[in-house]
Amino acid sequence: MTSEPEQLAAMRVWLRRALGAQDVGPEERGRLVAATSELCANSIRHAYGGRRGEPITVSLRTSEDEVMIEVDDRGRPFDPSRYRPPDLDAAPERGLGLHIARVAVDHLSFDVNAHGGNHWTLLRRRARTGSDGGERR
Amino acid sequence: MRIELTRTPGATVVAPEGDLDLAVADDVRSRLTGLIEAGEVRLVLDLAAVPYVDSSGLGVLVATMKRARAAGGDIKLCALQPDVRSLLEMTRLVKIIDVHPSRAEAVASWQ
Repeated sequence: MTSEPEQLAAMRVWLRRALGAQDVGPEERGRLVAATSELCANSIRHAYGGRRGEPITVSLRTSEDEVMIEVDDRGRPFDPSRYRPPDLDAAPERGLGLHIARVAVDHLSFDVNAHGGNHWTLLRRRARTGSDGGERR
Repeated sequence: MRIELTRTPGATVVAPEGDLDLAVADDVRSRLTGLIEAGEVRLVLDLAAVPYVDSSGLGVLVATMKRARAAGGDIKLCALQPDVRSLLEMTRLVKIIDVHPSRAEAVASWQ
């Protein structure tokens, strides 16, 4: 996908279908789609600062045990030292995206990719078994 | 984003259609702010036709809640789809924003 906010809905439709094709159940799908959508939105808003037409790659791999989704961009990398978790008791208006990505999956990790951009990896253990497979958008 | 407005004696019902995400958040925020500034501070947000809300959309809900409460009203949500409820639970907003199963119950709560 590219970095237009209007692309997010199409990415979610694609990911939901791809996860469904790998027998990932509705609740798991919802969590994985939410986490992935938030990371893509962060690429749009923060890595690219709202610039349109920039590349964001979402890759999906599944095994019997887990689902792995990777999100890559070529924008300004996330600075973990500046991240402050939102105070959920204070009804925050901002900063919920990364919180959602963290709590929706079992493991979230960040690295800088070969393009100097963001490389996020999401892992979620599967509630039920399914066939191996992978897709990319 | 298409938003249907229905005025009842007790509240204004706002029913958006489609995902409430980064792409539409600013538009929805300004339309809800417009309602509050026009004195419509008792709001019901019917999310029956909203399959997904992202963090930008949740930010709109929180901002609207704060604005409405500051003006003496509030926002009540109803008819949440499963993914939307799950996001409200993950962010604990379900404890802060009033949620009702149906539009009728949300409107009745304003009577």
